[in-house]
Amino acid sequence: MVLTVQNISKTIKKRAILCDVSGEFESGKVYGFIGRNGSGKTMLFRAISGLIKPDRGEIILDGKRLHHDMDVLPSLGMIIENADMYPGLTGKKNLVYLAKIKGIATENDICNAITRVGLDPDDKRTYRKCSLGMKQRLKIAQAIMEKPDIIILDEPTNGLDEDGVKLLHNIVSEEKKRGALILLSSHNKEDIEQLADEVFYMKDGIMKRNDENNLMHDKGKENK
Amino acid sequence: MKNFLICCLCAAAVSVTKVISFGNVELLNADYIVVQCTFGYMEAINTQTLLEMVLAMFPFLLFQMFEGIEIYRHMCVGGMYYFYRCSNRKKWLFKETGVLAVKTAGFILIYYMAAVLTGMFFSRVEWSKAAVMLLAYCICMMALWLFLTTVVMNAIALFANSSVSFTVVAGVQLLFITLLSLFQEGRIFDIYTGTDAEKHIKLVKWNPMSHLVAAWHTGSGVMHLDILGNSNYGMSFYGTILAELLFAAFAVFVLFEAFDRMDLMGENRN
Repeated sequence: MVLTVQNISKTIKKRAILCDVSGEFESGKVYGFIGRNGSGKTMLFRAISGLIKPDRGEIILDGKRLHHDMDVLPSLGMIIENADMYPGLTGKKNLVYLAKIKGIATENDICNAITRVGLDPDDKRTYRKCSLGMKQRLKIAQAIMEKPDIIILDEPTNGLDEDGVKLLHNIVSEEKKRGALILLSSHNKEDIEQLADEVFYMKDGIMKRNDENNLMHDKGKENK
Repeated sequence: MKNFLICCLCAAAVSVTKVISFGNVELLNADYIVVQCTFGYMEAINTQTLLEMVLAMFPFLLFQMFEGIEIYRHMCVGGMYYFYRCSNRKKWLFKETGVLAVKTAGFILIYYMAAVLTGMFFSRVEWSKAAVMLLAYCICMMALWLFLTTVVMNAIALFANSSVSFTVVAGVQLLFITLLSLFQEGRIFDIYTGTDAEKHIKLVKWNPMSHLVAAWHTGSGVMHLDILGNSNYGMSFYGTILAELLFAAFAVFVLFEAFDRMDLMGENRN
């Protein structure tokens, strides 16, 4: 399976959010995205997931064009930064509700996913009463419960404690072994360096392969 | 669903109170109950009747407040995780709009049924063919207006946010009620005295809120009802219902277009 992002651009309120972004991603690999807040990582992920329509360019999955041949990617699991789940439902009920859309994940799959992220499927607390870390774990669970071919993790370590981060690293490794294509963004360069097979650097909506020059450039800036 | 039930209870409470306020009456005409629950008799436009109209708006404003963001709220929370899985978003919107239509009809039915049942509990209610026709007209008229306004609210919320949409929709309705005060005796568009009264009376029907006052309408099957004595405003149930139907269809079209063009950002705007 090959996911191709072809020259996509997006402008919102006269501000260029994505500028001619291109890349090719294959299954069984983890792609890391580094960049500061507002660099365009989340917008790129939203575009790939079909939540926003690029002004120009195409997102192509195995020859099929997003928004033309399909409304959404057929097998996708994702965490979106700033997007919450239904506050009045428990964690499990949130996942059951979402699983009904495709009808792929069974109740067993849902319970397994919740257990995998270190939570209790029978927890009666509503989503609004969960801690930040628990909410993040639930979001990870909904992203993996359907065993999707593509997993997008936008800042998955937000709100996670040390154990949570370790757990996430394990999950990413397991999903990679399963053959999933994983797109991962993080403020934490260590996470990306440990998990990603290829790293991309984003700045002002422009995406570049994060070669030595970029790393040097970044390090130089930090030292200043 | 909880919010919908609260709205229904509130609507029932308002219509029950209205009927109880008639006092101990041995015989009640069904058409009288229906007209009273559709913004009252309103023989004359004056400050008191307009204030009563504003008060009677309460359950409808409550419904608009809750249901007017029912579709939009999916754009704020939870919806992002829903929409990246949903392979046919237009079908989802179609279903949601259908649910809204059913809720609107249910809400209006409960509003009128609570009034009629209360009337039957305290008095003997006399039904006629015309009264049944009038009830049917009023249910259609009120349900379509409520559906139209809630769809418009959802569409505005997609562009702006829920606070703006409620303020605009509720504000416009209350503004049009206020504008009716210009037609009082001695005011700029006096419809009761003076040489231009007949000319001014034609202007009343250009105020959309006046089309919700059942007593100002007429229509086939209900023409001989005495309670519709103020039909000289030139409003017919058919005309009102048809206009509401057309505007509702247009509002649904705008909602679908707005939804199709919008970017799903998944950030709680309000």
